[in-house]
Amino acid sequence: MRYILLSYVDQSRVASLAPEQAQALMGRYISFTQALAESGIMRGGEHLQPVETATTVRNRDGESVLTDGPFADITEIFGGFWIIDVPDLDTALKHAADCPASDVGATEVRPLFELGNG
Amino acid sequence: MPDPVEVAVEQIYRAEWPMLVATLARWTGDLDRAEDAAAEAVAAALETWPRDGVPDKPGAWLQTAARRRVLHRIRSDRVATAKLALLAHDLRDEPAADSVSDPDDPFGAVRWSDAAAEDLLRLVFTCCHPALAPSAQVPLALRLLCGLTAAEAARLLLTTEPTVAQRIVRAKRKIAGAGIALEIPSRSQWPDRLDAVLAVVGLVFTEGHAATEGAALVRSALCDEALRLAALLRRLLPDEPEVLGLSAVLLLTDARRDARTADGDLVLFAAQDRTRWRWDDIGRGLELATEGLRRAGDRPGRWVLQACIAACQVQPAPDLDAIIALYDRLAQQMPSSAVLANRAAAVAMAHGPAAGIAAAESIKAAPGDHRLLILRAELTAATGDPDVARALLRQAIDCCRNDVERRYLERRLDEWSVPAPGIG
Repeated sequence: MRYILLSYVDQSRVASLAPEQAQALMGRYISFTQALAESGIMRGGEHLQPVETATTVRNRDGESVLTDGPFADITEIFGGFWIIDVPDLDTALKHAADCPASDVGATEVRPLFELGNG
Repeated sequence: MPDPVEVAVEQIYRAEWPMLVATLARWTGDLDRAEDAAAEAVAAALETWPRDGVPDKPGAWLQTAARRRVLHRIRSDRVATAKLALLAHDLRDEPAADSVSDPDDPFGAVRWSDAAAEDLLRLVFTCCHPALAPSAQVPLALRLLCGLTAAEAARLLLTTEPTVAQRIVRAKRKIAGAGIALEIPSRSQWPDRLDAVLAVVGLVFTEGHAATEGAALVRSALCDEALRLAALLRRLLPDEPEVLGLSAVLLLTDARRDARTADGDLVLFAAQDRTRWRWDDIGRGLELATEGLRRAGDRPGRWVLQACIAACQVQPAPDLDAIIALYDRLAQQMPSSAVLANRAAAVAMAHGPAAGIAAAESIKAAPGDHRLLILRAELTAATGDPDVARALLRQAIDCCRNDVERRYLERRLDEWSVPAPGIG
Protein backbone atom coordinates (compact mmCIF):
# COMPACT_ATOMS: atom_id res chain seq x y z
CA MET A 1 0.00 0.00 0.00
CA ARG A 2 1.12 3.54 -0.65
CA TYR A 3 1.16 5.99 2.23
CA ILE A 4 2.04 9.65 2.36
CA LEU A 5 4.00 10.92 5.35
CA LEU A 6 3.20 14.59 5.92
CA SER A 7 5.74 16.58 7.89
CA TYR A 8 4.32 19.19 10.25
CA VAL A 9 6.86 21.24 12.16
CA ASP A 10 6.37 23.54 15.11
CA GLN A 11 7.84 26.76 13.75
CA SER A 12 8.52 28.33 17.13
CA ARG A 13 10.47 25.27 18.24
CA VAL A 14 12.58 25.29 15.12
CA ALA A 15 13.14 29.06 15.39
CA SER A 16 14.45 28.58 18.93
CA LEU A 17 17.11 26.09 17.81
CA ALA A 18 20.78 27.16 17.80
CA PRO A 19 22.28 27.30 14.27
CA GLU A 20 24.19 24.04 14.69
CA GLN A 21 21.04 22.33 16.03
CA ALA A 22 19.06 23.61 13.06
CA GLN A 23 21.72 22.26 10.75
CA ALA A 24 21.69 18.90 12.53
CA LEU A 25 17.92 18.76 12.06
CA MET A 26 18.29 19.45 8.36
CA GLY A 27 20.91 16.70 8.22
CA ARG A 28 18.46 14.27 9.79
CA TYR A 29 15.83 15.11 7.17
CA ILE A 30 18.37 14.37 4.45
CA SER A 31 19.51 11.07 5.95
CA PHE A 32 15.89 10.01 6.63
CA THR A 33 15.07 10.66 2.97
CA GLN A 34 18.19 8.82 1.81
CA ALA A 35 17.35 5.81 3.99
CA LEU A 36 13.84 5.62 2.49
CA ALA A 37 15.25 5.91 -1.04
CA GLU A 38 17.92 3.25 -0.44
CA SER A 39 15.45 0.75 1.00
CA GLY A 40 13.51 0.98 -2.26
CA ILE A 41 10.16 1.93 -0.72
CA MET A 42 10.15 5.65 -1.57
CA ARG A 43 7.82 6.64 -4.42
CA GLY A 44 8.19 10.38 -4.21
CA GLY A 45 8.54 13.34 -1.93
CA GLU A 46 9.16 17.06 -1.86
CA HIS A 47 10.39 19.73 0.49
CA LEU A 48 8.30 22.91 0.52
CA GLN A 49 9.62 26.47 0.68
CA PRO A 50 8.99 28.34 3.96
CA VAL A 51 5.38 29.09 4.92
CA GLU A 52 5.93 32.83 4.37
CA THR A 53 5.89 32.09 0.62
CA ALA A 54 2.39 30.57 0.77
CA THR A 55 -0.69 32.13 -0.80
CA THR A 56 -4.14 30.66 -0.18
CA VAL A 57 -6.96 30.90 -2.71
CA ARG A 58 -10.67 30.64 -1.95
CA ASN A 59 -13.35 31.07 -4.58
CA ARG A 60 -16.32 32.85 -3.00
CA ASP A 61 -19.34 34.34 -4.74
CA GLY A 62 -17.67 33.98 -8.12
CA GLU A 63 -14.55 35.74 -6.95
CA SER A 64 -11.10 34.41 -6.10
CA VAL A 65 -10.12 35.68 -2.68
CA LEU A 66 -6.41 35.51 -1.91
CA THR A 67 -4.87 35.28 1.54
CA ASP A 68 -1.20 35.86 2.19
CA GLY A 69 -0.15 32.80 4.18
CA PRO A 70 -1.17 29.19 4.81
CA PHE A 71 -4.79 28.03 4.87
CA ALA A 72 -5.02 27.92 8.64
CA ASP A 73 -3.25 29.89 11.32
CA ILE A 74 -1.69 27.03 13.24
CA THR A 75 1.67 26.58 14.92
CA GLU A 76 2.54 23.30 13.22
CA ILE A 77 3.29 24.06 9.60
CA PHE A 78 3.17 21.62 6.71
CA GLY A 79 6.68 21.53 5.28
CA GLY A 80 7.13 18.49 3.10
CA PHE A 81 6.11 14.93 2.32
CA TRP A 82 7.30 11.48 1.32
CA ILE A 83 5.31 8.77 -0.45
CA ILE A 84 6.26 5.25 0.53
CA ASP A 85 5.05 1.83 -0.59
CA VAL A 86 4.91 -0.65 2.32
CA PRO A 87 2.78 -3.69 3.23
CA ASP A 88 0.66 -2.19 6.00
CA LEU A 89 -0.02 0.68 8.38
CA ASP A 90 2.27 -0.66 11.10
CA THR A 91 5.25 -0.49 8.74
CA ALA A 92 4.31 3.03 7.65
CA LEU A 93 3.97 4.10 11.30
CA LYS A 94 7.41 2.73 12.07
CA HIS A 95 8.90 4.93 9.32
CA ALA A 96 6.90 7.89 10.59
CA ALA A 97 8.41 7.42 14.04
CA ASP A 98 11.87 7.69 12.43
CA CYS A 99 10.89 10.92 10.66
CA PRO A 100 12.55 13.97 12.30
CA ALA A 101 9.26 15.86 12.05
CA SER A 102 7.87 13.52 14.72
CA ASP A 103 10.45 15.00 17.13
CA VAL A 104 9.88 18.69 16.36
CA GLY A 105 6.22 18.54 15.41
CA ALA A 106 4.21 15.70 14.01
CA THR A 107 4.07 13.30 11.09
CA GLU A 108 0.65 12.52 9.67
CA VAL A 109 0.33 9.18 7.92
CA ARG A 110 -2.37 8.80 5.28
CA PRO A 111 -2.97 5.96 2.86
CA LEU A 112 -3.34 6.91 -0.81
CA PHE A 113 -6.16 5.71 -3.00
CA GLU A 114 -4.98 2.85 -5.17
CA LEU A 115 -6.45 2.25 -8.62
CA GLY A 116 -9.02 -0.53 -8.22
CA ASN A 117 -9.82 -0.15 -4.55
CA GLY A 118 -11.06 3.44 -4.65
CA MET B 1 -38.30 -15.10 33.97
CA PRO B 2 -36.03 -15.84 31.02
CA ASP B 3 -36.53 -19.14 29.26
CA PRO B 4 -33.70 -21.54 30.34
CA VAL B 5 -33.13 -22.68 26.76
CA GLU B 6 -32.73 -19.08 25.68
CA VAL B 7 -30.24 -18.50 28.48
CA ALA B 8 -28.23 -21.56 27.40
CA VAL B 9 -28.32 -20.42 23.80
CA GLU B 10 -27.19 -16.95 24.82
CA GLN B 11 -24.26 -18.39 26.82
CA ILE B 12 -23.17 -20.62 23.98
CA TYR B 13 -23.46 -17.79 21.52
CA ARG B 14 -21.38 -15.46 23.72
CA ALA B 15 -18.67 -18.11 24.11
CA GLU B 16 -18.56 -18.95 20.40
CA TRP B 17 -18.96 -15.42 19.01
CA PRO B 18 -15.38 -14.06 19.13
CA MET B 19 -13.97 -17.16 17.43
CA LEU B 20 -16.76 -17.06 14.87
CA VAL B 21 -15.92 -13.47 13.90
CA ALA B 22 -12.17 -14.14 14.03
CA THR B 23 -12.13 -17.11 11.66
CA LEU B 24 -14.56 -15.39 9.31
CA ALA B 25 -12.36 -12.28 9.36
CA ARG B 26 -9.30 -14.27 8.37
CA TRP B 27 -11.27 -16.22 5.81
CA THR B 28 -12.80 -13.21 4.10
CA GLY B 29 -10.09 -10.67 4.98
CA ASP B 30 -12.93 -8.27 5.70
CA LEU B 31 -14.22 -7.37 9.19
CA ASP B 32 -17.47 -6.00 7.84
CA ARG B 33 -18.37 -9.15 5.97
CA ALA B 34 -17.24 -11.25 8.93
CA GLU B 35 -19.41 -9.35 11.39
CA ASP B 36 -22.47 -9.40 9.14
CA ALA B 37 -22.22 -13.11 8.45
CA ALA B 38 -21.62 -13.91 12.12
CA ALA B 39 -24.64 -11.84 13.13
CA GLU B 40 -26.84 -13.58 10.57
CA ALA B 41 -25.68 -17.00 11.72
CA VAL B 42 -26.42 -16.10 15.32
CA ALA B 43 -29.86 -14.81 14.37
CA ALA B 44 -30.53 -18.14 12.67
CA ALA B 45 -29.31 -20.01 15.76
CA LEU B 46 -31.48 -17.97 18.11
CA GLU B 47 -34.43 -18.85 15.91
CA THR B 48 -33.81 -22.58 15.40
CA TRP B 49 -31.97 -23.78 18.54
CA PRO B 50 -34.76 -23.08 21.04
CA ARG B 51 -37.10 -24.96 18.70
CA ASP B 52 -34.91 -27.88 17.51
CA GLY B 53 -32.42 -28.08 20.38
CA VAL B 54 -28.80 -26.97 20.58
CA PRO B 55 -26.60 -28.88 18.09
CA ASP B 56 -23.79 -31.11 19.40
CA LYS B 57 -21.13 -28.81 18.03
CA PRO B 58 -22.65 -25.34 18.24
CA GLY B 59 -19.41 -23.65 17.14
CA ALA B 60 -19.23 -25.75 13.98
CA TRP B 61 -22.92 -25.14 13.32
CA LEU B 62 -22.41 -21.36 13.53
CA GLN B 63 -19.28 -21.48 11.36
CA THR B 64 -21.04 -23.43 8.64
CA ALA B 65 -24.12 -21.21 8.76
CA ALA B 66 -22.00 -18.06 8.61
CA ARG B 67 -19.84 -19.32 5.76
CA ARG B 68 -22.89 -20.21 3.72
CA ARG B 69 -24.10 -16.68 4.20
CA VAL B 70 -20.75 -15.22 3.12
CA LEU B 71 -20.85 -17.30 -0.04
CA HIS B 72 -24.45 -16.32 -0.66
CA ARG B 73 -23.59 -12.64 -0.29
CA ILE B 74 -20.59 -12.91 -2.58
CA ARG B 75 -22.59 -14.76 -5.22
CA SER B 76 -24.90 -11.81 -5.50
CA ASP B 77 -21.88 -9.55 -5.85
CA ARG B 78 -20.66 -10.02 -9.42
CA VAL B 79 -17.32 -8.25 -8.97
CA ALA B 80 -16.12 -10.87 -6.52
CA THR B 81 -16.50 -14.04 -8.57
CA ALA B 82 -12.79 -14.78 -8.45
CA LYS B 83 -12.83 -14.51 -4.70
CA LEU B 84 -15.79 -16.87 -4.57
CA ALA B 85 -13.84 -19.67 -6.26
CA LEU B 86 -11.07 -19.21 -3.73
CA LEU B 87 -13.39 -19.28 -0.74
CA ALA B 88 -15.36 -22.25 -2.04
CA HIS B 89 -12.09 -24.11 -2.25
CA ASP B 90 -11.25 -23.18 1.34
CA LEU B 91 -14.64 -24.33 2.50
CA ARG B 92 -13.98 -27.86 1.29
CA ASP B 93 -10.51 -28.02 2.83
CA GLU B 94 -11.12 -26.56 6.20
CA PRO B 95 -12.23 -28.81 9.04
CA ALA B 96 -15.16 -27.33 10.89
CA ALA B 97 -14.43 -25.78 14.26
CA ASP B 98 -15.11 -28.09 17.15
CA SER B 99 -16.00 -26.62 20.47
CA VAL B 100 -18.16 -27.12 23.50
CA SER B 101 -18.78 -24.55 26.15
CA ASP B 102 -19.40 -24.55 29.85
CA PRO B 103 -21.61 -21.73 31.09
CA ASP B 104 -19.63 -21.38 34.35
CA ASP B 105 -16.46 -20.23 32.62
CA PRO B 106 -17.02 -18.22 29.46
CA PHE B 107 -14.17 -19.87 27.57
CA GLY B 108 -12.95 -22.56 29.97
CA ALA B 109 -14.20 -25.57 28.08
CA VAL B 110 -14.10 -24.15 24.57
CA ARG B 111 -11.45 -26.04 22.64
CA TRP B 112 -9.54 -24.00 20.11
CA SER B 113 -6.98 -25.30 17.70
CA ASP B 114 -3.70 -23.34 17.55
CA ALA B 115 -4.70 -21.97 14.16
CA ALA B 116 -8.06 -20.84 15.50
CA ALA B 117 -6.46 -19.22 18.54
CA GLU B 118 -4.15 -17.33 16.19
CA ASP B 119 -7.16 -16.08 14.26
CA LEU B 120 -8.68 -14.78 17.45
CA LEU B 121 -5.46 -13.14 18.55
CA ARG B 122 -5.28 -11.37 15.17
CA LEU B 123 -8.76 -10.01 15.74
CA VAL B 124 -7.90 -8.88 19.29
CA PHE B 125 -4.84 -6.96 18.14
CA THR B 126 -6.73 -5.42 15.24
CA CYS B 127 -9.66 -4.20 17.38
CA CYS B 128 -7.20 -2.67 19.86
CA HIS B 129 -4.80 -1.18 17.31
CA PRO B 130 -3.24 2.00 18.73
CA ALA B 131 -4.06 3.86 15.52
CA LEU B 132 -7.72 3.64 16.58
CA ALA B 133 -9.03 6.10 19.16
CA PRO B 134 -10.17 4.61 22.48
CA SER B 135 -13.70 5.79 21.61
CA ALA B 136 -13.48 3.44 18.61
CA GLN B 137 -11.53 0.59 20.25
CA VAL B 138 -13.99 0.12 23.10
CA PRO B 139 -17.20 -0.25 21.05
CA LEU B 140 -15.33 -2.37 18.51
CA ALA B 141 -14.10 -4.72 21.24
CA LEU B 142 -17.56 -4.90 22.82
CA ARG B 143 -19.09 -5.71 19.45
CA LEU B 144 -16.53 -8.04 17.84
CA LEU B 145 -14.91 -9.66 20.89
CA CYS B 146 -17.78 -9.67 23.40
CA GLY B 147 -20.62 -10.09 20.96
CA LEU B 148 -22.76 -7.23 22.22
CA THR B 149 -25.06 -5.58 19.71
CA ALA B 150 -24.61 -1.87 19.06
CA ALA B 151 -27.74 -1.26 21.16
CA GLU B 152 -26.36 -3.26 24.11
CA ALA B 153 -22.97 -1.56 23.88
CA ALA B 154 -24.70 1.83 23.75
CA ARG B 155 -26.62 1.05 26.93
CA LEU B 156 -23.41 0.13 28.75
CA LEU B 157 -21.52 3.16 27.43
CA LEU B 158 -24.43 5.50 28.22
CA THR B 159 -24.71 6.69 24.67
CA THR B 160 -27.09 6.14 21.80
CA GLU B 161 -27.20 3.19 19.45
CA PRO B 162 -26.54 5.30 16.32
CA THR B 163 -23.44 6.79 17.99
CA VAL B 164 -22.01 3.39 18.79
CA ALA B 165 -22.97 1.98 15.39
CA GLN B 166 -21.31 4.97 13.73
CA ARG B 167 -18.10 4.51 15.74
CA ILE B 168 -17.96 0.83 14.83
CA VAL B 169 -18.51 1.60 11.15
CA ARG B 170 -15.82 4.29 11.17
CA ALA B 171 -13.38 2.04 12.97
CA LYS B 172 -13.90 -0.77 10.49
CA ARG B 173 -13.54 1.72 7.64
CA LYS B 174 -10.24 2.94 9.07
CA ILE B 175 -8.95 -0.60 9.52
CA ALA B 176 -9.74 -1.43 5.90
CA GLY B 177 -8.80 1.94 4.40
CA ALA B 178 -5.63 2.67 6.33
CA GLY B 179 -4.24 -0.82 5.85
CA ILE B 180 -4.28 -1.94 9.47
CA ALA B 181 -3.21 -5.54 8.94
CA LEU B 182 -5.33 -8.32 10.41
CA GLU B 183 -2.13 -9.74 11.86
CA ILE B 184 -0.39 -10.61 15.09
CA PRO B 185 2.26 -7.91 15.53
CA SER B 186 5.93 -8.73 15.09
CA ARG B 187 8.06 -9.39 18.15
CA SER B 188 9.58 -5.89 18.04
CA GLN B 189 6.15 -4.25 18.19
CA TRP B 190 4.72 -6.78 20.59
CA PRO B 191 5.16 -4.88 23.89
CA ASP B 192 3.52 -1.66 22.63
CA ARG B 193 0.74 -3.46 20.88
CA LEU B 194 0.01 -5.68 23.88
CA ASP B 195 -0.07 -2.56 26.08
CA ALA B 196 -2.75 -1.15 23.79
CA VAL B 197 -4.84 -4.33 24.10
CA LEU B 198 -4.57 -4.36 27.89
CA ALA B 199 -5.41 -0.66 28.01
CA VAL B 200 -8.67 -1.25 26.14
CA VAL B 201 -9.71 -3.97 28.61
CA GLY B 202 -8.67 -1.73 31.50
CA LEU B 203 -10.71 1.11 30.06
CA VAL B 204 -13.84 -1.02 29.75
CA PHE B 205 -13.41 -2.13 33.35
CA THR B 206 -12.67 1.32 34.79
CA GLU B 207 -15.71 2.79 33.10
CA GLY B 208 -17.77 0.01 34.67
CA HIS B 209 -16.14 0.08 38.10
CA ALA B 210 -15.99 3.84 38.60
CA ALA B 211 -18.57 5.06 36.15
CA THR B 212 -17.77 8.65 35.23
CA GLU B 213 -21.40 9.45 34.56
CA GLY B 214 -24.86 8.36 35.46
CA ALA B 215 -26.95 7.19 38.34
CA ALA B 216 -25.09 3.99 39.32
CA LEU B 217 -21.64 3.91 40.87
CA VAL B 218 -20.81 0.54 39.38
CA ARG B 219 -22.05 -0.50 35.95
CA SER B 220 -21.59 -4.17 36.67
CA ALA B 221 -22.48 -5.37 33.18
CA LEU B 222 -19.51 -3.43 31.83
CA CYS B 223 -17.22 -4.93 34.51
CA ASP B 224 -18.46 -8.36 33.44
CA GLU B 225 -17.51 -7.63 29.82
CA ALA B 226 -14.03 -6.55 30.92
CA LEU B 227 -13.64 -9.74 32.97
CA ARG B 228 -14.76 -11.72 29.93
CA LEU B 229 -12.15 -9.98 27.76
CA ALA B 230 -9.47 -10.65 30.39
CA ALA B 231 -10.45 -14.33 30.48
CA LEU B 232 -10.20 -14.40 26.70
CA LEU B 233 -6.70 -12.89 26.76
CA ARG B 234 -5.64 -15.34 29.46
CA ARG B 235 -6.75 -18.19 27.21
CA LEU B 236 -4.83 -16.79 24.25
CA LEU B 237 -1.71 -15.57 26.06
CA PRO B 238 -1.40 -17.65 29.23
CA ASP B 239 2.33 -16.91 29.61
CA GLU B 240 2.21 -13.11 29.42
CA PRO B 241 2.82 -11.69 32.90
CA GLU B 242 0.93 -8.48 32.08
CA VAL B 243 -2.15 -10.43 31.01
CA LEU B 244 -2.08 -12.24 34.36
CA GLY B 245 -1.53 -8.91 36.13
CA LEU B 246 -4.49 -7.30 34.38
CA SER B 247 -6.73 -10.25 35.23
CA ALA B 248 -5.63 -10.10 38.86
CA VAL B 249 -6.32 -6.35 39.12
CA LEU B 250 -9.78 -6.80 37.63
CA LEU B 251 -10.69 -9.73 39.88
CA LEU B 252 -9.32 -8.16 43.07
CA THR B 253 -11.13 -4.90 42.35
CA ASP B 254 -14.35 -6.44 41.15
CA ALA B 255 -14.51 -8.72 44.20
CA ARG B 256 -15.28 -5.58 46.24
CA ARG B 257 -18.11 -4.53 43.91
CA ASP B 258 -20.99 -5.28 46.33
CA ALA B 259 -19.28 -3.67 49.31
CA ARG B 260 -18.67 -0.35 47.58
CA THR B 261 -22.20 0.82 48.16
CA ALA B 262 -24.64 0.39 51.05
CA ASP B 263 -28.27 1.40 50.51
CA GLY B 264 -27.18 3.08 47.29
CA ASP B 265 -24.51 5.21 49.00
CA LEU B 266 -20.76 5.10 48.45
CA VAL B 267 -18.65 3.27 51.05
CA LEU B 268 -14.94 4.06 51.12
CA PHE B 269 -12.37 1.26 50.97
CA ALA B 270 -11.43 1.45 54.66
CA ALA B 271 -15.06 1.36 55.78
CA GLN B 272 -16.15 -1.52 53.55
CA ASP B 273 -17.78 -4.58 55.06
CA ARG B 274 -15.22 -7.24 54.18
CA THR B 275 -17.75 -10.03 54.57
CA ARG B 276 -19.37 -8.60 51.43
CA TRP B 277 -16.19 -9.05 49.41
CA ARG B 278 -16.22 -12.08 47.13
CA TRP B 279 -13.37 -14.04 48.67
CA ASP B 280 -13.23 -16.77 46.01
CA ASP B 281 -12.48 -14.09 43.41
CA ILE B 282 -9.91 -12.54 45.73
CA GLY B 283 -8.24 -15.92 46.10
CA ARG B 284 -8.16 -16.35 42.34
CA GLY B 285 -6.87 -12.78 41.92
CA LEU B 286 -4.06 -13.37 44.42
CA GLU B 287 -3.07 -16.55 42.56
CA LEU B 288 -2.94 -14.69 39.27
CA ALA B 289 -0.99 -11.78 40.79
CA THR B 290 1.57 -14.20 42.23
CA GLU B 291 1.89 -16.07 38.96
CA GLY B 292 2.23 -12.79 37.02
CA LEU B 293 4.92 -11.56 39.35
CA ARG B 294 6.78 -14.87 39.13
CA ARG B 295 6.74 -14.77 35.34
CA ALA B 296 7.73 -11.09 35.21
CA GLY B 297 10.85 -11.79 37.26
CA ASP B 298 12.66 -8.61 38.24
CA ARG B 299 10.93 -6.53 35.58
CA PRO B 300 7.27 -6.34 36.50
CA GLY B 301 5.21 -4.22 34.13
CA ARG B 302 2.46 -1.78 35.05
CA TRP B 303 -0.32 -4.36 35.36
CA VAL B 304 1.72 -6.74 37.50
CA LEU B 305 2.65 -3.81 39.76
CA GLN B 306 -0.98 -2.74 40.05
CA ALA B 307 -1.90 -6.36 40.81
CA CYS B 308 0.68 -6.38 43.62
CA ILE B 309 -0.80 -3.16 45.02
CA ALA B 310 -4.33 -4.57 44.87
CA ALA B 311 -3.06 -7.77 46.53
CA CYS B 312 -1.52 -5.74 49.37
CA GLN B 313 -4.70 -3.70 49.82
CA VAL B 314 -6.95 -6.69 50.46
CA GLN B 315 -4.73 -7.96 53.30
CA PRO B 316 -6.19 -7.58 56.83
CA ALA B 317 -3.45 -5.07 57.76
CA PRO B 318 -2.07 -3.62 54.52
CA ASP B 319 1.69 -2.95 54.48
CA LEU B 320 1.55 0.75 53.57
CA ASP B 321 5.29 1.14 52.99
CA ALA B 322 5.25 -1.77 50.57
CA ILE B 323 2.29 -0.17 48.80
CA ILE B 324 4.14 3.18 48.54
CA ALA B 325 7.24 1.42 47.17
CA LEU B 326 5.07 -0.33 44.57
CA TYR B 327 3.47 3.00 43.60
CA ASP B 328 6.99 4.47 43.21
CA ARG B 329 7.88 1.74 40.74
CA LEU B 330 4.56 2.13 38.97
CA ALA B 331 5.01 5.91 38.71
CA GLN B 332 8.36 5.37 36.97
CA GLN B 333 6.55 3.55 34.17
CA MET B 334 3.30 5.42 34.32
CA PRO B 335 3.45 8.87 35.92
CA SER B 336 -0.25 9.57 35.44
CA SER B 337 -2.12 11.87 37.82
CA ALA B 338 -4.27 8.93 38.98
CA VAL B 339 -1.21 6.86 39.97
CA LEU B 340 0.42 9.81 41.73
CA ALA B 341 -2.81 10.69 43.56
CA ASN B 342 -3.21 7.10 44.79
CA ARG B 343 0.42 7.15 45.89
CA ALA B 344 -0.18 10.40 47.80
CA ALA B 345 -3.24 8.83 49.49
CA ALA B 346 -1.07 5.89 50.61
CA VAL B 347 1.60 8.30 51.89
CA ALA B 348 -1.08 10.16 53.87
CA MET B 349 -2.31 6.92 55.43
CA ALA B 350 1.21 5.86 56.35
CA HIS B 351 2.75 9.17 57.42
CA GLY B 352 -0.13 11.54 58.07
CA PRO B 353 -2.05 14.14 56.04
CA ALA B 354 0.80 16.70 55.91
CA ALA B 355 3.06 14.16 54.18
CA GLY B 356 0.16 13.35 51.88
CA ILE B 357 -0.30 17.01 50.96
CA ALA B 358 3.41 17.30 50.19
CA ALA B 359 3.19 14.22 47.96
CA ALA B 360 0.11 15.55 46.17
CA GLU B 361 1.46 19.06 45.68
CA SER B 362 3.32 18.63 42.42
CA ILE B 363 0.67 16.48 40.70
CA LYS B 364 -0.60 18.09 37.55
CA ALA B 365 -4.14 16.99 36.95
CA ALA B 366 -6.38 17.59 34.00
CA PRO B 367 -8.90 20.35 34.74
CA GLY B 368 -12.01 18.76 36.17
CA ASP B 369 -10.18 15.75 37.66
CA HIS B 370 -12.45 15.49 40.69
CA ARG B 371 -10.62 12.59 42.32
CA LEU B 372 -7.46 14.64 42.89
CA LEU B 373 -9.60 17.52 44.21
CA ILE B 374 -11.25 15.15 46.69
CA LEU B 375 -7.87 13.93 47.90
CA ARG B 376 -6.59 17.49 48.35
CA ALA B 377 -9.83 18.49 50.11
CA GLU B 378 -9.65 15.54 52.53
CA LEU B 379 -5.99 16.10 53.34
CA THR B 380 -6.46 19.85 53.77
CA ALA B 381 -9.41 19.23 56.09
CA ALA B 382 -7.32 16.80 58.13
CA THR B 383 -4.53 19.36 58.58
CA GLY B 384 -7.00 21.96 59.80
CA ASP B 385 -7.84 24.39 57.04
CA PRO B 386 -11.61 23.85 56.78
CA ASP B 387 -12.38 26.82 54.52
CA VAL B 388 -9.86 25.81 51.86
CA ALA B 389 -10.96 22.19 52.22
CA ARG B 390 -14.61 23.08 51.71
CA ALA B 391 -13.76 25.18 48.64
CA LEU B 392 -11.81 22.25 47.14
CA LEU B 393 -14.65 19.87 47.87
CA ARG B 394 -17.17 22.21 46.23
CA GLN B 395 -14.98 22.25 43.12
CA ALA B 396 -14.88 18.45 43.18
CA ILE B 397 -18.68 18.28 43.45
CA ASP B 398 -19.01 20.57 40.44
CA CYS B 399 -16.75 18.27 38.40
CA CYS B 400 -18.32 14.98 39.50
CA ARG B 401 -20.84 13.56 37.05
CA ASN B 402 -21.63 10.33 38.93
CA ASP B 403 -24.74 10.65 41.10
CA VAL B 404 -23.69 8.21 43.88
CA GLU B 405 -20.27 9.78 44.21
CA ARG B 406 -21.69 13.30 44.22
CA ARG B 407 -24.21 12.41 46.93
CA TYR B 408 -21.34 11.09 49.04
CA LEU B 409 -19.34 14.29 48.52
CA GLU B 410 -22.31 16.49 49.42
CA ARG B 411 -22.79 14.48 52.60
CA ARG B 412 -19.09 14.87 53.33
CA LEU B 413 -19.33 18.61 52.86
CA ASP B 414 -21.97 18.67 55.61
CA GLU B 415 -19.94 16.60 58.06
CA TRP B 416 -16.17 17.03 57.88
CA SER B 417 -15.98 15.40 61.26
CA VAL B 418 -14.39 12.11 60.17
CA PRO B 419 -10.83 12.76 58.94
CA ALA B 420 -10.44 9.55 56.98
CA PRO B 421 -8.85 10.03 53.56
CA GLY B 422 -9.22 7.00 51.39
CA ILE B 423 -10.19 5.58 48.10
CA GLY B 424 -13.56 4.04 47.38
